[in-house]
Amino acid sequence: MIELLVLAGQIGALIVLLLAFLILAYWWGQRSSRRMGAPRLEVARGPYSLGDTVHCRLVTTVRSPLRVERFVFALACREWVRWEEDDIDAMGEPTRRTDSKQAEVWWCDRAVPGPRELRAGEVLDLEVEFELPIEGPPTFAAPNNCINWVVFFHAAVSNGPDVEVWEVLTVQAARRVSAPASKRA
Amino acid sequence: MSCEIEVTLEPAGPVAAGTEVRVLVKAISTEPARCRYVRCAAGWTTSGRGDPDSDHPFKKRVPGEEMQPAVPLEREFRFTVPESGPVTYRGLRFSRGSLINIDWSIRVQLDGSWPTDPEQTVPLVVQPRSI
Repeated sequence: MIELLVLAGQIGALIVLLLAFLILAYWWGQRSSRRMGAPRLEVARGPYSLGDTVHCRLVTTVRSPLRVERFVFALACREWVRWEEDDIDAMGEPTRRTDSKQAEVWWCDRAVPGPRELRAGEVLDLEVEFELPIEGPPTFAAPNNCINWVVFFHAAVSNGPDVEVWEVLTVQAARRVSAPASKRA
Repeated sequence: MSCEIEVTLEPAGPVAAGTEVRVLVKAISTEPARCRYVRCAAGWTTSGRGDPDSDHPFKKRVPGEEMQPAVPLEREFRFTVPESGPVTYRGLRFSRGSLINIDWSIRVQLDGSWPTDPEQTVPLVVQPRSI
């Protein structure tokens, strides 16, 4: 009976340790983002047409001082696929497993010169523009095949985990052949 | 006993998403036959690394007729390609690492007294509409 209680105590302690590790890892992973003031990526989600300009803005009020080596904005087109296939498990029994794969089929990035020392209370306001490629694919979503357009912001932070935020855009099955009203004016 | 089916699309393509397409069907049987229905389905399917997805936003059947050799059976269907697409996508033409293709096709099938129902499939290229 005592042995059983000791075993239960050991398992409990192991679970507590594991939970503490996960919380610590999450806390560390979010450390730079907290210091930077939980940056928001402001991008209209669309729908966009191919050939449209995508305006991206990163705004945040810095919470604690930190040094950022570089900032990078990126616009990417990603394909994601899923498939099922027959396999043999560790016991030699036939099994069916689901697998998936992702590919970046188009990528464009814009770096903001660095490094920069950010002070507490400083407002960080960065803006870039991207143009959606006229020959690119529109957004596509099906159970096993998807095409997505995503805007990323990445900050390489000294002595801390990097900060990354992103937004998914919707690109409709349309192509811009004339300049939008905002550009004609 | 066989039957030849000729399918003509107007416009032939490429067509923009949102365009109405006419499907003209002309079938000629080598022997007398009874055609109960003429079916037409327009849809897209994916191919590539993932399991295929597909959808047929247009499916219709119209009555057939008694067919005589050398007398063509003619039918017409009309459907509109959805504005939302999807559009035809040959992934590898866009990027070497692509995993996906999307293709549209029109399938016409005759339902009748033949041992195997004759059918014909033609491709349709759908591109983004211009704005």
